[in-house]
Amino acid sequence: MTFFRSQKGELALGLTLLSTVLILMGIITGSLITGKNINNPLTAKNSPTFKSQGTLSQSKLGTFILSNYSDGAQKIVRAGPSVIKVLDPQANDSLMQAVRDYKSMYPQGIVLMRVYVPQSVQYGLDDDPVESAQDFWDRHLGPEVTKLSASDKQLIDYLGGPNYNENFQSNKLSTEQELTWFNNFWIKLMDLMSTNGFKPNFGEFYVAGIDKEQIPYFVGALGKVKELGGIWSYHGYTLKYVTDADYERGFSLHYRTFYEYLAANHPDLANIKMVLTEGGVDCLGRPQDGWNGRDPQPGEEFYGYCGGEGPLRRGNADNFKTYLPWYDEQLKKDSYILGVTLFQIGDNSNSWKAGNLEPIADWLATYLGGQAGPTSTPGSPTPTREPTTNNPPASPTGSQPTTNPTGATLTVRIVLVKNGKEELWNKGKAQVYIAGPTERGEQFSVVMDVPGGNQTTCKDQEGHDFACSKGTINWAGAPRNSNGSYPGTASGSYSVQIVSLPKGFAPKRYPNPGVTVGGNTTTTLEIVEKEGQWKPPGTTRAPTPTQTQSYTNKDYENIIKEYEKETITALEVSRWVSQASRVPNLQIMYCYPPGCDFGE
Amino acid sequence: MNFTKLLRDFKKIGQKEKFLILLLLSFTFLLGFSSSYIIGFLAPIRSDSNIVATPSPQPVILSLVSTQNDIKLRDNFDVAVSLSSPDTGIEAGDFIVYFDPLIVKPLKITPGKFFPSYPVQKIENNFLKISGVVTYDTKRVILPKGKADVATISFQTLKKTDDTLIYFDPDHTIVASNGRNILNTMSSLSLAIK
Repeated sequence: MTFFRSQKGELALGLTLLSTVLILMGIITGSLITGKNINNPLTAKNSPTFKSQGTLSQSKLGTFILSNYSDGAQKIVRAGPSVIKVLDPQANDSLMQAVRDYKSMYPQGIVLMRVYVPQSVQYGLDDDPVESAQDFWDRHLGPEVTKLSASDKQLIDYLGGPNYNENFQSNKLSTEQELTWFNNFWIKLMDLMSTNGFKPNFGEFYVAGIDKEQIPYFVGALGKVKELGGIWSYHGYTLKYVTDADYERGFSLHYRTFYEYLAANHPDLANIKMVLTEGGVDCLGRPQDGWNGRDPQPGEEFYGYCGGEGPLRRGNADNFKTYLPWYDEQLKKDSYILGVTLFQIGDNSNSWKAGNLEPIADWLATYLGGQAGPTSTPGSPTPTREPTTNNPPASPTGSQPTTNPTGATLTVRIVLVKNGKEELWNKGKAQVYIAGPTERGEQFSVVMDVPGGNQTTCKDQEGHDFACSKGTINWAGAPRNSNGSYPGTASGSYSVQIVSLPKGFAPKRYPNPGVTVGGNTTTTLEIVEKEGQWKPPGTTRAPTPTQTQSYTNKDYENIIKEYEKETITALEVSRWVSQASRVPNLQIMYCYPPGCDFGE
Repeated sequence: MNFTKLLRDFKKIGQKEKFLILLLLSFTFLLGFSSSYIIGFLAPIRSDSNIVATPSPQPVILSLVSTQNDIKLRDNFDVAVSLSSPDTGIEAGDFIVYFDPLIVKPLKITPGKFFPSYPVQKIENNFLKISGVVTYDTKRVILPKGKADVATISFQTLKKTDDTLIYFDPDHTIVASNGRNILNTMSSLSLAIK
């Protein structure tokens, strides 16, 4: 201190400045060493795998890399997945490096980029959709993508926008008005993406977030996707964690229903490619819902819906290694699917830890490497393409023929149960409905009279023969072969139901539980004797009431009268209330029963 | 700042002072270096914890819940029809519940508090139907969401059995919002009557 006092001048000042510079140098040096920059050769580790570089895997499994180009992410990237997705590479050089590595090894690989826009950014029906898209680009997407260097920008194949409805109408997207708004917003946004040199990735639809009934509202946006050479996207999560393609048609394979609609109604749009931009195991987005999390236990909420019934269970890597190849095989049946970017690798925060692929990265890399296509020179400008992407457009069912073998028979016994004893049906006209898979993976259904006499051949409502006897239907497919034999029916899950009975009888159980058919299968439908005629509920529904242009309390009373008479269902009432609620000055409030004050 | 003069001044001072200054400068460098670690730990590069993993909205679940575990022949027991719709307001619902008429007999339906109005409450041979709806006037609509009972069904047992099922009709049970059936899952009730 004596020294500083004695100098009184520039030496002290100079040393102060020097100290400041040294502090800054220390910070910079420290950041370089401690940062997760994989460019640093000290931290980048070579993968122990796999196959010749440049050979893209024919698997459709890819990954969504978040936060950090981890060891596992590096291994997966080196193995050549058909598609990867990165979040905010413009702000995270680690992720941009993942893209550079991937594209240098697999120039034909597909890279999707998403820019995170917080949900606090909201647009609503009161906003003009075109102006909103411009605003979204100007204030959120545009400024971020301009941070990419020109060479990095070239590596991005598709750019995403809002993650489904997260920036719209408080995460609501169901009414005609909302869907139309969303469509118009995206058409403009995709134009802006294209003008700025990006191909669009439209949608990012949540798992089961939309149904095929809503696809008609997106025809405009899908046309724009096609025009600009873009893709659309859906999140292919399994919630129940099962390998049941029928069940998963409602969830991880739900996109098939969209393509079925397009093939039937807009075939020109049915060959637009889709990427499942998130996937794996989830349910409600809770920390425990990932593949490495925890199943709900019996008695817990969402047991069954979120899994727990097995055989696949969360918290077990082997189970996930069973699920993924199954899902991969399903995706390979759909030529329009480019791949799935499994959520996620690179982020081990508590929120997403249970979905982190890091623990199975070695396995996944080996799996991808084991499905390498024909080799090509690394970095070759004529890369190997996945053969599936060049397949013809999807079949109307959106999938290839299934492998259901034919040759099975289904015997349906219809019995009257009285005093604990069964008696084959012979009490008059009754009808049974059978629905099941065809050998081509489609669905068939037939309605047939239950034989009450001793005949051995009966006819269904379409006139096809089937073998029968008193109270018994032997279903073995139709029509008969040229030698008179029955072709057999496909194995799989069937619905077998009683659809009508004479007065005085009712099914003991309706609907009958599903029947799994394989080989020779027998199911029994039990009938009990009761008073009154049995008709399945809902069979006498009246058509939807005509929508009124003005909505009055009297209109509502009329609707409720119809509802009381059961000529309309809850759907029609809901549709009416929903329409009638969208008028100026009407207040829509939410309440939480049982604490609701409905004002009565 | 004249750097040469600074060096000259530095040479003029004593060994002890030189040592002190070098120590101070080293300390400042270390201070910066260590602070980068601390900053790194306290503030991650970017938190992705706000990113939604995009599962579907919380599912709408319908379940049948018995208030009694031990049910005997000729007992009366109650079954609650419980509806959970955490995120979506419900406008109307049709609830069709099947039962085995040889085993149990429904005695009455008591409306619950999920809906303000129940236009249909009927008991048939082997099923019963309950319909609930919101009230509407041209000034306001109150849409219930959350979890509550739609109704409570009182049954009487008729016969002993190891297993009888009370269950929803999956084809005609509807929980409607915006004209769509948004029901995700239904759970049935399996009972033993001793």
